[in-house]
Amino acid sequence: MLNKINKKIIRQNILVFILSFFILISFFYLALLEKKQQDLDWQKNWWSLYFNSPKGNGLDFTIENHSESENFHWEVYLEKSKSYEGNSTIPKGDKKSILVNSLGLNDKKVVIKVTSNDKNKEIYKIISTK
Amino acid sequence: MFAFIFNQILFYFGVVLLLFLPGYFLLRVIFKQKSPFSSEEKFLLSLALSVGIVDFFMLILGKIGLPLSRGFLFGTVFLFIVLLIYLPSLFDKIKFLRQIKKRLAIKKAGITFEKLPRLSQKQKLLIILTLFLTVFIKTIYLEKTVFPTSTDMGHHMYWAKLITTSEQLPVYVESDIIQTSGGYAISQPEPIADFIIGEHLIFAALGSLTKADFVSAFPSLVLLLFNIATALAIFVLARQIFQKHPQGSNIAILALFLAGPLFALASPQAKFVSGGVIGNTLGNFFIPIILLLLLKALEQRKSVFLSLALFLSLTLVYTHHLSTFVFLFSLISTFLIFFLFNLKKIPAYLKNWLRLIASPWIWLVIVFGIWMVFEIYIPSYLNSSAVGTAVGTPSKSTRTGLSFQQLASATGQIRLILALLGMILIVWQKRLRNYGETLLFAWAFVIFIMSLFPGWLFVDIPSSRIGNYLIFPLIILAAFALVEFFNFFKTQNSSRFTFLKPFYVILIFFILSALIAQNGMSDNATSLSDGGNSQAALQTFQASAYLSKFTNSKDVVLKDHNYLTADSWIKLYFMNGYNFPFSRSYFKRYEDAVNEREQCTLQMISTPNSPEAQKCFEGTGVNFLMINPLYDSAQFKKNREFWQIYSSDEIGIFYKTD
Repeated sequence: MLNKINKKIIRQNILVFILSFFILISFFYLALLEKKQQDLDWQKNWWSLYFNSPKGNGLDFTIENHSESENFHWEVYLEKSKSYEGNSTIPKGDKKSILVNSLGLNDKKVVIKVTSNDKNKEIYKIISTK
Repeated sequence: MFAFIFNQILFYFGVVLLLFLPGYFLLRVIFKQKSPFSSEEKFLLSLALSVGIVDFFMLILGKIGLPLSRGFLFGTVFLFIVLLIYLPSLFDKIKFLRQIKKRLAIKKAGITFEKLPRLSQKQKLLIILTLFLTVFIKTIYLEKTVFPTSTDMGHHMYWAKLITTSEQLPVYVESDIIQTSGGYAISQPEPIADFIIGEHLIFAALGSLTKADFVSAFPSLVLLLFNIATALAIFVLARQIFQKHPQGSNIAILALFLAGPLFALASPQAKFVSGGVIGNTLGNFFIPIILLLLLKALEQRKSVFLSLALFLSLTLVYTHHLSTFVFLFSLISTFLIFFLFNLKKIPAYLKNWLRLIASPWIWLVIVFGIWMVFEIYIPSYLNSSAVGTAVGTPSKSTRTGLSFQQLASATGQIRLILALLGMILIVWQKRLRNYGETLLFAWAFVIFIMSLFPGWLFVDIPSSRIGNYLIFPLIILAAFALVEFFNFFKTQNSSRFTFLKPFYVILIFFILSALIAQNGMSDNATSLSDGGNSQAALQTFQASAYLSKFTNSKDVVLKDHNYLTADSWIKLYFMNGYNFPFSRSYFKRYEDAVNEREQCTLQMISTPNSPEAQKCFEGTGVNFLMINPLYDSAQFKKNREFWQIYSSDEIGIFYKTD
């Protein structure tokens, strides 16, 4: 009896059930794809550079890597002369914070230049005396 | 992966609970076991009614000061459903309620609802195939565009997120940059008439209930649901209109084919989904459903259908102004054309219509509507200034009407030609004596006039936006014309056309079908080439998340709209006002002589070292600037007041020191 009722319900609503199934599959697929696209590393090739503290005089900076290249070369310039430099290996999906001493640099422009695989970026601050 | 699957299940649960069950159980209470609807109609009505029910619940809860939190929303909807399940037995038990039930009841004895003709197995198979193609093509398109980058969607999701985070109804206001005596300042928040609360409530409810991230696919998926449902709504409406036509079901299937797989992507279809055109997408869904109910009410003389149509019209009023406007014009023109072609029978029809209105069901909805508008929440556009911007002599060149060529390219040439043929056939076959065909004819006719000659009807709205509403009536008309053409030569009339042998008739039919299919598929192909840019958008989101961690109430951010991807979503990371961050708009807007706008947002990015820009910085307090380093970094590097604090390929952030 129950079987008969179920069959009747399915027969009557077959179009709606099938459409709901199509929609469900479509939604799941699109959501899964979007989740992958939200992944900072999946099919991505970019990296970013930023100060750990944007407002103050602190010069510590972070390299965040979402590219295939793992080798980063960084240089710290005081006005136009290179002050010091270093290399870092940062795997894809990882980030590394690099500490830079900002003491005694009043009114100096400090530029951080980072190069990786022929791509370079820079950030800078002019150390305030206030 | 487990978290993803759990979130997906939660999302589908939310969709079913909020967007299906309230409407479904309401229909069950009203019609009990004797449902006058097909399963497709029930599916669509459940969706449409649920949107209305959830919207109105949220408006009422918000008005009386209860929090629009997850618990309250779930509790309210759950209680409502439980109440609907037990309402029939409750009405039977209590004497007072029994009397109300008698007043409202759809009389049991002798009540018959006209049912639509059954679909054959072959027809069902064809429908399933068409639905599959519909969903498949839209999905393929959204593969590239489902990622949240669209400007409109970003704007809308700010308000939806605001409702979720504040647990209150939003106040649609924004602060702008204004000129003061000798300088610039940020204005006090001023009302915005562009947004309508119904565009945001369901997203807020789903976001609240499922905790889905607004910067994700979920808003597009909800719109996709409505877009697919619209194709089905066109099918059920076509079936209702041509229910007495011998090929009625085939016309409806062909209409589904034209509304589904063909032209599946171009506006107002999947492009509106990925573009976040919420109001239009919902409006395009509601209009055919309301027309379906109206048609059922007029044809079967049942007030209950009219009351449901009124309820959904009220929901439309709270969802989208332009759709409401187009719907009202369609409705008025339907009755005018019906009057015109049925002059002799008008007294009898009037009597029927008066009987239809004189029902407690109708007055219940009317009183509810008046109460909602005047006591609970007045839609933001229902003020004199907003009405003034839509009605009047067309004021801009974009509002003076489309050329026929423009209309043809927007609607699809073959589809338009067939639809015009369909309109001629309706008049020629004297079908304007029927409600269905009159409604279809008037629906298309009035939008034709509004798009081509808006001045005739004193419509002052961008004509291309109106033109988008023409597509759905055209689809049904084109399907009718195509089937009628084929049918014509099968009937006795064909004897007069003996020169046309069946072979040639079939050939012409297939050529026409192939032409329209080619037209629709090439339209799809053109749209498919548009791709998203998730990598650039992700960089915008990462930079926004970074900056939002370090800003406080004293900081003011300005970003660029010209060269940043997904920049309208940045505000969702700050949640500090609709206009936070301020935006350098498209360059042409700063040259608009009619609507002069402030120049600060342009100058502070384009020429930050100019005296005018310096005044702007001083007056507005802007101290963070988000720009695309490829186009806009050199000007900041010249000035020692600016620090570059963030750098990636697509976005750079500059900080202006005191």
